[in-house]
Amino acid sequence: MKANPRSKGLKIIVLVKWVPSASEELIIDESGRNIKRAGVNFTLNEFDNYALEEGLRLKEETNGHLTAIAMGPLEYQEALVVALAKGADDAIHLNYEGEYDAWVASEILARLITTLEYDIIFTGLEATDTNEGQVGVLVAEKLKIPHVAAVTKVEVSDGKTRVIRELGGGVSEELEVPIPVLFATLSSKNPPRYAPLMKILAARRRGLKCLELKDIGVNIDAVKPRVRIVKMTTPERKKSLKIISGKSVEEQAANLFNVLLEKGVV
Amino acid sequence: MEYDVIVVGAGNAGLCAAMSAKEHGAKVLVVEKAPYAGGDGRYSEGGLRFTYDGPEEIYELRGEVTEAEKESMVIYPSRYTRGDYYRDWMEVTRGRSDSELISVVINRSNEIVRWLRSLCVELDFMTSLAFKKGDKIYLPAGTPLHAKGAGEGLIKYELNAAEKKGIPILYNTKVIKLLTNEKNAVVGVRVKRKDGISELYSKAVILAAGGFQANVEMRTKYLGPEWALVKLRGSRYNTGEVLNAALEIGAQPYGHYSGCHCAPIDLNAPDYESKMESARYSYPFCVYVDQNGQRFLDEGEDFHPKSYVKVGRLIIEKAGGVAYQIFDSKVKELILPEYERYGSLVQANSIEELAEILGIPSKMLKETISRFNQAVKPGTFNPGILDGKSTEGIYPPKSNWALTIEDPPFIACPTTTGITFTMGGLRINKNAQVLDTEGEVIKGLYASGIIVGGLFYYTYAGGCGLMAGATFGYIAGANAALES
Repeated sequence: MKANPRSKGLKIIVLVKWVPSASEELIIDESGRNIKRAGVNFTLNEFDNYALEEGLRLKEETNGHLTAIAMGPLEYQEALVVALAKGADDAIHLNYEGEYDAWVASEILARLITTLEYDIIFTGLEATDTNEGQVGVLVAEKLKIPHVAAVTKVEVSDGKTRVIRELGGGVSEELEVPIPVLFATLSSKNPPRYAPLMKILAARRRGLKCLELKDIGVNIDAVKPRVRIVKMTTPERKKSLKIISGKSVEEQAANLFNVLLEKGVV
Repeated sequence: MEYDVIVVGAGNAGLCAAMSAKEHGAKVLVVEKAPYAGGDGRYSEGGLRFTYDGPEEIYELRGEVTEAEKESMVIYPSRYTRGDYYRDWMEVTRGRSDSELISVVINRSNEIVRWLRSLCVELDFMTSLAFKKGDKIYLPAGTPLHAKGAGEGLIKYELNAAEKKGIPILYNTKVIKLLTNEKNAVVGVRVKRKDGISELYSKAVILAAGGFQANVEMRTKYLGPEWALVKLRGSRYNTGEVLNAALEIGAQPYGHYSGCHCAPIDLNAPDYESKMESARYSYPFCVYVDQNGQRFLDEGEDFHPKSYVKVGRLIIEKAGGVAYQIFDSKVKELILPEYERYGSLVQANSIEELAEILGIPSKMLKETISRFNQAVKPGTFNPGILDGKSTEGIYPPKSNWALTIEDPPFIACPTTTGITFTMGGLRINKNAQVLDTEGEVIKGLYASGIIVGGLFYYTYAGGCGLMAGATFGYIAGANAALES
């Protein structure tokens, strides 16, 4: 369907991903090419939280409609439950258990999005598990719409968007971009809202649309990944322990100070 | 060594495990404490929740479907994706189920149902739990099919198949200990039979011995004192000693130890093994009151397959163990035929008379019904869907199917809670291997069925239990066979 430029009743899509929580210690599985998912706590990708917040704010300001989308294994539905609990109007889960890279993900997501009406698509700047930041750009390219990365604030008027994006070194720029558009979000104007437990439970009872690849006409064998993970490694840990000794507390403190001085900490 | 694989328990999970192990080349023995097979599955409705692509696939799996049946049987949803299944599972378990384990069940459910079909397990439309309206039969959402002949049918077909495969079953054989070697790998079981205690050795042991619902001591300890005197819907033999034997060698306890599956059942049902005929599932069309004549739950929260466990729990926790379903003549045809059993149904021409017969305060019941009737919002009543016809301004609300109770004769059914299975169990990985308290595999030990924890919390969606038992049974059997 054709995108529909407007300032009122904006149709917003937010792409979200369920990623291992930052505090988790990750273990590489037997294949050496993936992490062990069992027993690992997952959470909504941090940047997607900002994307969702910007999307929800615009939806509320323009009395619009927000659809959250997640693609991946069954447990990625949890990201959509969070999105619904925070205020998404509906949510679509595309079930895909197989391996994929940003190219495959964007191909599938773009295919789904062409079946929906939209004005603005939000993604997080990147997913904290893969740190690629590619899916948003590729989706925009495949939909042939403009995209802006590292967005921190979006305002909409007269069918146009004014966005602030962050450059390096604390410098930011303000851009004017027509609708439809995709924003890869770095942060949001307001801090991401909290999803209360009761709303999460209620969200589980609300219509979460569950699709398989064949429902959107994707033949996965025809979509070849461009990147194959060869090997995954965890960071090497250099363990060192130094016991600071001294005859008195003063001497111990002086010795500690010297070590810190040597290391350039003070 | 006499056997490659010993399976403990001859219920649905155990029989599936044994047949799978045999198919994968193992020499198998099944030991069963009871004098007969079936475990708790025997007393179930035999429902299997699995993914399907459309009505045609259901017709194919059922076989020999007539045009008239296609016309009358409403399969809703018409298609059931893996995502739908996951969403429905997590909805009722409030997102607590082990996502890795349930994904295995969901992703393989269709394949495993087809495997059961290949073993000559016949499937039929689950009309027993359907809503019938006019000439339409609304099959339970997500579980349009069950084993022909319900739980007993399922076990009969599975036993036939196991017999054809030449799998021996030792009945009256109770496992009292798991035998381990110096590395804590399981190498067999110690069993107690009438003629004494003996040891059976194998390369792998699959635990499929069910929960501890028939053990009053464990029920009181884990579920709480109010569960001590509850009726048992299923087998009297599921007393948890195999679970304890596994915990004793360091297996990891996992799941909702204080949770159980239960259902509203007829107050006059026998104390155990009353099967499905004691279930009282027409409550979405009633007003449910406690012994004081007051409402205590949302009768129309969801279709009964998704809500009956919660209802059973609330009867214990909020109504003190006894509660009454009150209907009027408008919904008479929606009351399931099992209600006729035990002669418990009470009929009266006025609410006062009904209260008198039931022995509950007449004034309070009248007031409850009148307040309820005033709160019923207009709308179209449709038992086949969540019709949203609800109440306004009363607590608890009735979220769907809210019809007034005003047309005599009034009908009441006294109910209590029947426990089906407990939810606390052992932790397994996706290969059905039992893990120890450090999360490491206990070599030679597998589990499937209700003895597995982490699948169900609070409640469950009908048809998931047998499906999970069959799926992890199949996986346990295949992997245990590899140990030989």
